[in-house]
Amino acid sequence: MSHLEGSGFVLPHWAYWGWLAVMPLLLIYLGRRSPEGSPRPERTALEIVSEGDPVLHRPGNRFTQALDRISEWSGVFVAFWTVNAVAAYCYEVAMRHLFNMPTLWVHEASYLLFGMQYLLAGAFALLHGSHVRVGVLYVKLPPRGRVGVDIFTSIFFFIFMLALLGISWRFFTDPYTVGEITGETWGGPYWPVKGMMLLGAVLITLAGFSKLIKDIRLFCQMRGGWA
Amino acid sequence: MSTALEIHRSLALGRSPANRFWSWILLAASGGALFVVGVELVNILFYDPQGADYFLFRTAGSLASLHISTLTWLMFGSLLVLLLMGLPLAFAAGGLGVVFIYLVGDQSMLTIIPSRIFPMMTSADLAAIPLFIFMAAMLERTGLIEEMFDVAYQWMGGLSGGLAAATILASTLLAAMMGGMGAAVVTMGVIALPAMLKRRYDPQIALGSIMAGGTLGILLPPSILAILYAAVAQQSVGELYLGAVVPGLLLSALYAGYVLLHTWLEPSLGPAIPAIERVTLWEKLLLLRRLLAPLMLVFIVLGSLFAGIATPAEAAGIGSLGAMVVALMHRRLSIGALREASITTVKASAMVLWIIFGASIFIGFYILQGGQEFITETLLGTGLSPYGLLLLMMVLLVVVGIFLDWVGVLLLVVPIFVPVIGALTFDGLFGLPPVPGDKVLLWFGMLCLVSMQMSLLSPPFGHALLYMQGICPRGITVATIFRSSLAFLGLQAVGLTICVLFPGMALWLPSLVYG
Repeated sequence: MSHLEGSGFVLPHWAYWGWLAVMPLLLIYLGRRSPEGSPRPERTALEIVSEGDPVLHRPGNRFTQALDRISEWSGVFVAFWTVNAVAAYCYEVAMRHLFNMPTLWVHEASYLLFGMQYLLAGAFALLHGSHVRVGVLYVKLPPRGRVGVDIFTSIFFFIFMLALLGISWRFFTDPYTVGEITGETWGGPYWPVKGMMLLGAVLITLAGFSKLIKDIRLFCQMRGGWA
Repeated sequence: MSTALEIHRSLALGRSPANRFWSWILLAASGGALFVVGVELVNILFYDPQGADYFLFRTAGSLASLHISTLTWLMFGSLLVLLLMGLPLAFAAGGLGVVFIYLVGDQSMLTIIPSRIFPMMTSADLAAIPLFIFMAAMLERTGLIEEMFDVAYQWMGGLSGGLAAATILASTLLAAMMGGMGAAVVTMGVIALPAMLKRRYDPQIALGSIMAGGTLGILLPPSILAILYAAVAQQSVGELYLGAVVPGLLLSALYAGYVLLHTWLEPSLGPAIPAIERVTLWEKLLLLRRLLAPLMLVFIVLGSLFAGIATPAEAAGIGSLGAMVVALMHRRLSIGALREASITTVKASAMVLWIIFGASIFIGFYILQGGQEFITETLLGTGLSPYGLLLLMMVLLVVVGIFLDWVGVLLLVVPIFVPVIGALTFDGLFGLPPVPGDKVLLWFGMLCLVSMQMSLLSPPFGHALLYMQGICPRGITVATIFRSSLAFLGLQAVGLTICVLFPGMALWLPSLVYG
């Protein structure tokens, strides 16, 4: 780190990763005692367009509940990272303009953080139906028809995910990858980020699997009688 | 209750022969596709891709000799089918991208996928997207929007149609703080719509002003759409933001002018609030204090961006901090509020970025196969003048935008159009000033943003209309919502035409600041 001396505070890599791992847990723990935010009973715009999938918010069986809990928990975990980026960017602007000491790590640290967040949150978004669909014909179908085409189109979802899993595994285990860094001043490590690509693919595949099971169950239930 | 009812209805259908027929079709289609995927999986895992041996059959490379025009129809046709079947765009584009890469090339060609996704993941510019979403999500929870509408309401309520104009004004200010449109339409719909209907406003004026005002969010800075266009067309976010200011204000003025003129001619459409309920001038002036926080926030975020003090992502970070401060002032800042805002953000930004991932695999492969040249040649081969081509593209953008999410349009259609536009020269129509060669893409970006607004407001599937249907009180029919959008759609077409005829509308401010 000798080339960074005299350039103000530089966040050490171990502190970055440690904080990203600890900070969401801390906020989740503290948030348990904190009251809910402002009461906001209205539906958000995303919720309005994501309706129409009959399987959304269905409990499913114990296996899918376990999968859903993984998706839910991973999403809430990475969601809190956004707050770090807010603090980091404000720190950077303040240092640069008030103290004339631009930091060398904020931009790298923040875009790496967001890159990991997008990938890991895919499962959470899938669980909550946030991946908006084109409703033109879909919502016109009867509920059982909707569940049915969801089962069919999920094949393409799984093709995408299988490719992503295979490719990101090779991408991650590429011998060139080990120890690879961003090539910018802070030298943010790339390989954990690539690992997150693999982890994100695993998570969203699990979430898709849970949805498929719920779809198939509902499809059968609707046919054989509704208990 | 309604879902239980629906299920009962489908249950009744479940025993009919037609339903059994569709069940078999579905089973056969899924089974067939699963079989093909399974066989190819065996091929990929256990057989040498260069070797002559394969398991049962091998489809890799089976489309290799296809002409690009056939491939174009095949790719976009199958994408359309999957989208209409309700598969989210991110997965439809990603899945089909993988399928076509495999069918045209082979499995080793799939390694282009990370090279499409990874740069998007680690882009410093795209980091502004989640932060602007976060800022909006935080502001939504502060009660600031209600206050802004209240101020505009008290100031303008005395005019005929004043509430509708106040809605448009508040939406414009809101658009200058939020990067999308959903939150604006939904929140204003919940606040302003009951207020206007209670005052016996014509529902069409009320609905139209909320929806049209809301669509400004994707045009006025800090628009997320502009960030994406900047990434796709290699333009500067700052210049796009500056360029959007004048067209955005022009549209806002057109909407407000239309509403005021219409209700002035027919006061029964938007009656002024009675004189007893109006507040005095002094009270009105005191009310202005409430606008201090939002105006400061807009000034700090956009000011720091335009003055070159902060990058887009930094400006978004500062804005998010500002939103937290506003929340603190309203005593709404807690870990619970932070968690909710973060969760809203992560859902929306994951949705946007997964579309980017999927669509860039699909379109990246299409361009790699020479789709770019094919489209360029086809478009130039029509023999249309540059302005004719521009019109064609605008119409296509609006039509595609009605069906697709705007992120999808920007990632699927705009990358194909941008090189075509970049190769054309626009000499000005009717003796009006030409578009400078190096500014064509900036100008085109502005036109794209305005066209996207039109598609958001187009019946029957425009997103603004969908949001409105989601929050509308009983007694307002879908047909009323559709009709209410038409007048404002016309105004947007006028605005778009003005921007085409007078490129200075979009280019004047950026040239003033950036030289």
